[in-house]
Amino acid sequence: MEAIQSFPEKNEEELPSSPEWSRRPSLSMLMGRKIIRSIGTLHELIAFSLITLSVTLLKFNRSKAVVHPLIRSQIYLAGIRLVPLVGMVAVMTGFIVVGQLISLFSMVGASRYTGLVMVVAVVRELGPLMTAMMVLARVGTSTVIELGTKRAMGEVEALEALGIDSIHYLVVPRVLGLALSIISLTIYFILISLASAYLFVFMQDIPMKPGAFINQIAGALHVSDFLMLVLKSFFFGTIIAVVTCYEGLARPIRLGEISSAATRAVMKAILFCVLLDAVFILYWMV
Amino acid sequence: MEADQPIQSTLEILIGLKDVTVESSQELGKNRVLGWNWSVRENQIWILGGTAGSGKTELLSVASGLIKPRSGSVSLFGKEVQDLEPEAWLEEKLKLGLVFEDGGRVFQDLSVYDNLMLPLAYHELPDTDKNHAWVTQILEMMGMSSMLNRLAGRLSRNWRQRLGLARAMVLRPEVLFLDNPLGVVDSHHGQWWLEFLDSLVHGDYEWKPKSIVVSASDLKPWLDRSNCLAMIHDGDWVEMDPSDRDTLNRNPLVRALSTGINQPL
Repeated sequence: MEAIQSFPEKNEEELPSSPEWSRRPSLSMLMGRKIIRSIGTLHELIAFSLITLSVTLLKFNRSKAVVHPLIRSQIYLAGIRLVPLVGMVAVMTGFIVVGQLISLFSMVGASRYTGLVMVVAVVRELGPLMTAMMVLARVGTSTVIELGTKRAMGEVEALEALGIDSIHYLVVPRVLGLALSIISLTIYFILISLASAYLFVFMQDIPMKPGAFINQIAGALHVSDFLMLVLKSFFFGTIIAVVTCYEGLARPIRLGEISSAATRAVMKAILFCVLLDAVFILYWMV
Repeated sequence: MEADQPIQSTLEILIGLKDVTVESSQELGKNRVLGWNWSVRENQIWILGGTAGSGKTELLSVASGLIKPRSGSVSLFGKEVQDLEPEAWLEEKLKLGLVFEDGGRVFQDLSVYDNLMLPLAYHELPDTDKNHAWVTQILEMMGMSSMLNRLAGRLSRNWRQRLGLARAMVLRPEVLFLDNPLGVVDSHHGQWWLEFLDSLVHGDYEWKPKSIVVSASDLKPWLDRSNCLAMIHDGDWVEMDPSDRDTLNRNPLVRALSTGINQPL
């Protein structure tokens, strides 16, 4: 007790103040924090994905009367309802991008490369990526808002209290629904944009018969293109669903934070989709 | 509810908490419940009294299997939770029903009927006709038969709280937890809640829980209806006999939560 009395605590005023430069974080500190936070988020996202995968595999056939209609409802929301929008964008893409490329090629006498360019531009790149972005804009953001609201209003805890697995009930239908929808919509997008590209060619009086057009595309396509197309679209759908569900559900959230969670989810989903696209480009280059 | 029944320590322990510590749901990292021991037995009607933020909700969340304690052990119907496989744990957990405070946390985008059918359908309980009859019966008990197809999100807080009770009852739990059920309801609905719970305990309905646990920040409506009382304050847990009015009168917190500040019961 005496020892304590002999060393009285210093008042805050007596403590030497730290210099201004030591309080302000340096650029390297800021970057370091950002990197550590990003690694943490990536770690959580991977864990969330693995949990979703295990629940999908283990519980796919459980509670079919509840979960399977939810999958169908997601296919309707993310697939069938987007058919007009995707069709319209596909027509414009066919006209503006592909049609112009073809007419340009025929002007410089490089018509024999048309098929290859179509496959690279539409089948491998534009089709899957543009479809995924449209689904992200229309369905991804609403998923974050819907799930974020459920989380903020305590409905997720209510599900758990009733023994209902929230991943099984809320996430699995969205992952499967979005993945299947994006695969179907991508194929639809490719077919529409190729057809509209030929329409452009026809309207420009470029001498190319439908048979030659189809033959060129068929000649440039490989079996791996079909496989990669399905895989890429499936993973785009999975990424969008997992990222948006993660942002809406994984952490406690207040109603006022939902809009920023939606923005974060969109940015992350775009980033991960582009990164995945780069991986596929590497496959085709090698 | 039957207030005169003594606390019967020989009866089966339905829920047991041993040295349980629970983290605050509002301030992460801060413990609200510190090393508490608690048993819920058959025929007990517990009242957990305490001010807002004292840890009642956290305690109910642990006891009802919603969250895991930070330390200590929980047993459900004689089985240690940590020893249970997920399937066995779920089986025990479904014997517990929880009514959330502040509007019951109903599923807002589902109809009143679907709110009740969801747990039955999810757990694949057989016989759809029986489920439908049971849901219809519960809605009649709640006085909500005319609201069958109404969206839960469009109901007032009073009715949402009642729907929360209906949903907690739908799986016929053995222990019913009510988290501050009168907190958001008006006096008319509050009276209905008390009369309904009296009838439920007296066995006026087809189903009756083995035990009921109510958390409350206003003890007055509950003291005559309970046979066990625990007060929670600043991390302390004090068990009392609700029929011992002298002891209750000497406790300033009980007085404050029963009749206003420092008024005798």
